[in-house]
Amino acid sequence: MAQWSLPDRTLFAKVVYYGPALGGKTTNLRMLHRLTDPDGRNKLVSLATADDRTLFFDLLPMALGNVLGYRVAIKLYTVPGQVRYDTTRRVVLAGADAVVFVADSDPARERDNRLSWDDLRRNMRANRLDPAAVPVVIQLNKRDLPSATRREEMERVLGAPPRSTVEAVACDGAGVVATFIAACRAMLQRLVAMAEPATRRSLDEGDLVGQIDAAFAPYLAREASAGPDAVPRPTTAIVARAPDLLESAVDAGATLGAELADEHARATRLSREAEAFRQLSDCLRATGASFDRDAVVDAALSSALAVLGASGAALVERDERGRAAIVRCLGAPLAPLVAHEVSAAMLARMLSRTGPAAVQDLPTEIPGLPRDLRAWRALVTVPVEPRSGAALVAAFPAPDGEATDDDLRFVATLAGHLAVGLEKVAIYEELRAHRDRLEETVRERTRSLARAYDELKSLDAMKDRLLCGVSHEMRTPLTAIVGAATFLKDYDGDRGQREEMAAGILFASAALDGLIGELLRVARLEGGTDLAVTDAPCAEVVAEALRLARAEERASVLLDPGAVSIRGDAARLARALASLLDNAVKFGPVDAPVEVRVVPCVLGGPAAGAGVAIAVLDRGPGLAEEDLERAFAPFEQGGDPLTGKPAGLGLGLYEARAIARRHGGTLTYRPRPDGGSEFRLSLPSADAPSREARRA
Amino acid sequence: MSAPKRILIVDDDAFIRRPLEFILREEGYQPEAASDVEAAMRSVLSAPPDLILLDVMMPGKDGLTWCRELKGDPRFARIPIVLLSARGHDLDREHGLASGAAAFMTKPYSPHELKCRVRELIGRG
Repeated sequence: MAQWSLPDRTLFAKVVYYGPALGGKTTNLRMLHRLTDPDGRNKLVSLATADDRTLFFDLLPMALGNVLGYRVAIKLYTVPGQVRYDTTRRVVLAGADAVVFVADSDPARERDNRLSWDDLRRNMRANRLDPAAVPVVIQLNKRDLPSATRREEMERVLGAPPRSTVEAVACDGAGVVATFIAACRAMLQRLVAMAEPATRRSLDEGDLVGQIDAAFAPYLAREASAGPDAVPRPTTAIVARAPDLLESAVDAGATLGAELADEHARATRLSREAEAFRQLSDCLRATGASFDRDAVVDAALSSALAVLGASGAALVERDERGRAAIVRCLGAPLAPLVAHEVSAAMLARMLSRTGPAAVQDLPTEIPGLPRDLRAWRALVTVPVEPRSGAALVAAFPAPDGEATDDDLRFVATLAGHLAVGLEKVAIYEELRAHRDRLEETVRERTRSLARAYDELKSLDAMKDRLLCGVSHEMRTPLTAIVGAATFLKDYDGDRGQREEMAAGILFASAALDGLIGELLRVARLEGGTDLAVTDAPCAEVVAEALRLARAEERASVLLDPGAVSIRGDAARLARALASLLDNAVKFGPVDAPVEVRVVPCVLGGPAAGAGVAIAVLDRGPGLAEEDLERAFAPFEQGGDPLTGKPAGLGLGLYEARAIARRHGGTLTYRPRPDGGSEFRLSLPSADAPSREARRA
Repeated sequence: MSAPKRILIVDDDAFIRRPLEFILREEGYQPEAASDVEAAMRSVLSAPPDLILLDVMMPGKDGLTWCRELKGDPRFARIPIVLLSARGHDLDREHGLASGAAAFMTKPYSPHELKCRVRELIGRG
């Protein structure tokens, strides 16, 4: 790049001659050298091969004289034209202030011109030289060739404006200076325009173009007088007449070295980026493959440790005070950062940011850094889930750990991946919880279905018993009726026989009627009809029960004076007691009396208080242990169901117990120690306030 | 003319026994009645009947058991027994016939049908 040296008022500038091989670039420089420095004060350095091909570059330093009060010192370079020296061309082109493109007018070289032109644009861009700003002068050389391509055609091919090019025959010196003048004008105009304000102020007022032309005037005159003989003989190999060759070589070496270092840095950066991408892709794969929250977090943290220069990485969450709490940590434990008040407060400030935050020098940020925090120098935080306040934290080790912009970008990308992974885990966990709840619901539903099924099965068994019981109980009187009616219809018989048959029919019909009544009573019981509650005197209840069971003659009644009356539905109570009496009469031996004992008692349960117990005692076979529960179930009867003679529908005990319970009482059974059964109804005494009364 | 054939009716229910006694007598048989197995056994021992109509379910010893006992006793095994039951399950019928009964009839039976069955087994009265 151009350099304005204010103290010695000198402008250093660089012009590079570019173009296809053997196009005349070196010839241009030689001719310029000859014309501008006839005394050979400056040396033309030429690094060339034996066949006169420029190997590395040509360098011609020249002083142009004063322009705007500044001495203008220009270094002219050529680049090697051969395709394989691309790197050299790019290095030589670096920092050029103007470019002269030497095009070959030989029609056979048209393609070479174009390729070299494209190469120039590419290398300018590689050197950050704006082709639109850095002046490029096109010289059409070898115009003396008979077959030379027309100027307009060449300008069109190179995309140059019409008549913007300079025609030359460099070997004759023709157009060489003109080309250089054109380049210098454009270059100096641009350099002056771009100069710093201080430099601008140091420039003399004056006509820039006029001064340039004046500076070149002597050379133009000399060019006009030069002929073919004026061209110096070509130099071969490394030119010995260049004493500063070594210096130039070192310069070039340094330039190359710098370029190489840049390249190396770039390669290193690229490989780091590649590693970062690989880690990101690993992290994505890991988070994609797992529904385990810890595994997803670990994948992100280990990626962070692998790519960054960090020694520890953690996922933190913010508590209600905004302080960080470590959820998971890999590498060096970051717990001290959270434990110390100073660093915790700093971390909280960093986490309060909506975006990434970095602290580059902990010892500076926190004066008097606690000893166990001195292991770190830089710190980075990047939010992961704004809602939960989750964030990634990476700590870079002392003494020179550094969080670069690349590091920040990487952690930010990682945080994005992690956020997606955690979201996925959250959704999965929600789904799993939902599925678990669903399974529990299904299990619960299955259990209740099983219960309902059991109940149905038990109801079904009850229905079977009912049908069986009812059919048997009805068949017996029906048999009597059919038998008697058949005799009456088909045989004459005597009067006595006929009367007996009719009586049988009436009796059996009454039995059928009783059955139906019993069924209806049970239906009412199950339907929960209201009780007609009164104070029922015990003596009346017992008397009515004896009448219903036709047990007056078989029973002996013992009525304790303390048991006066029962609070309840007298008719229902009599029915319950009648069932017990009926059983006692049916199952007890004919010669043994059935005893009824009415005594005061104490009730427990819902109707706790004074009660009356009515016990029915017989000398029958009693209930077998295994029949106890069954005996109280509806439509059940004790004994062998196949041969045992059923006596009734098997509703008696069921009905009696149901009636007792509806009164808040109980019906219990116990075998008598000396043989027989005792069924005991315990009912609320009328002396004790009833539940309803208490409630009122 | 031979003596009328004797039929023993065993049922605890008099309202079932009586019409059968009347009808069988009208048909020329000589019916006898017992209200339980104990009484029936006394009758069999004193004079074995030609046929027994036996109720299955009775207080005391049941008909099925007594039927098996009679069939196991060579003295009475040949007496045809018609079981009468108010329970008509197939299982009951199976048990009844397995006990060696000649026939099993479900209450309420038609007296005429019963009469026909008796006639098949021992002929007219």
